[in-house]
Amino acid sequence: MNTRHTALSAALLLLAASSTHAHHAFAAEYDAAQPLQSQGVVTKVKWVNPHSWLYLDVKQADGTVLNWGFEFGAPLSLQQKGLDRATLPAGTEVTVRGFKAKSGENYGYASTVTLPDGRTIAVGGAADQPAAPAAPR
Amino acid sequence: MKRILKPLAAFVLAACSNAATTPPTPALAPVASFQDLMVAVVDPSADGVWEAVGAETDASGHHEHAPRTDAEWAAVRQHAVRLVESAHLLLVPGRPIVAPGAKVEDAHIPGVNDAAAIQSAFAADPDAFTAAVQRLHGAATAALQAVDRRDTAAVLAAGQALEQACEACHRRYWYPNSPPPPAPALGPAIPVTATPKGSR
Repeated sequence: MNTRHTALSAALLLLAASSTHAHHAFAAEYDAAQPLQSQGVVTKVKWVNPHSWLYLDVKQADGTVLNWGFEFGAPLSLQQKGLDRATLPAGTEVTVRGFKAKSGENYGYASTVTLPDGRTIAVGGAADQPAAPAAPR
Repeated sequence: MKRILKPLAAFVLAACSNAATTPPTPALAPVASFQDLMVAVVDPSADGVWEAVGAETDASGHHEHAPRTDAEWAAVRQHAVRLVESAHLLLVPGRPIVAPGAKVEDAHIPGVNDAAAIQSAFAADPDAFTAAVQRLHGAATAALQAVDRRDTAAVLAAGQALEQACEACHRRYWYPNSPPPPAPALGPAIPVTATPKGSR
């Protein structure tokens, strides 16, 4: 029940976070001084613009499980990098490197995702933005 | 007759000269600030386009969502229309950055511009700002056209282009000196446990 409750709380929190901070500076939401590395099992992926969300069950030292959410790239961008429903089905064990949210809640910014086959893929939502095309003059 | 023609010619010449150098005065003075427009029009309209098409993968499988009924498509179209036309509002001369007495959102964060800095950046290169708004307009137009074709893949693609237009403009004018996420370390993965909620 506690795990379910935590997951629900995290989901509600992430809904708020994703809509409120879709296009704010990285530093408005996340803390570059708090890098994070989490190994967990995929419970859900939301493939949606402007940034998708990856949810993991992460086992804690005391044996309990917390559901964490990670903001990462736009769906098509992720697909071009080889991340889609086929590579990230529920139950997949992955490692995420990124940064914690300043709020201290169970979500963060994913910079990379390492898949079971060992591939590490850069997935940042803002860090890898393509350069703007030349301005028409 | 000469007495009349001479001043008239001078007036016409002056008028032509002014027309060539002075931007046209808008028929209506802007009231809302850029920040007001972003909060009230641009952001919720973009959200309406972005949230219209997507998917979710969980233990029960993969589930795609998109508008299905005429009413659902019409609702998304309204968001796209507002977004397309909001670009024109952003280009109206004389619009303040924030309302009197208000502060730019996130201005307390290092590297985020205040209103004066944003205004200076606009003034320093008006063509660059126009190009940034044209990029928004182009992406929003693509979204509107995709909605009219009921092409969900194109809505998703236009949504990504829209996201990139937003990010590029914000990074140039709103938070140009706020550091992006540090480059991730690409070494071998080491399993570690995340910090539990509230433990910091």
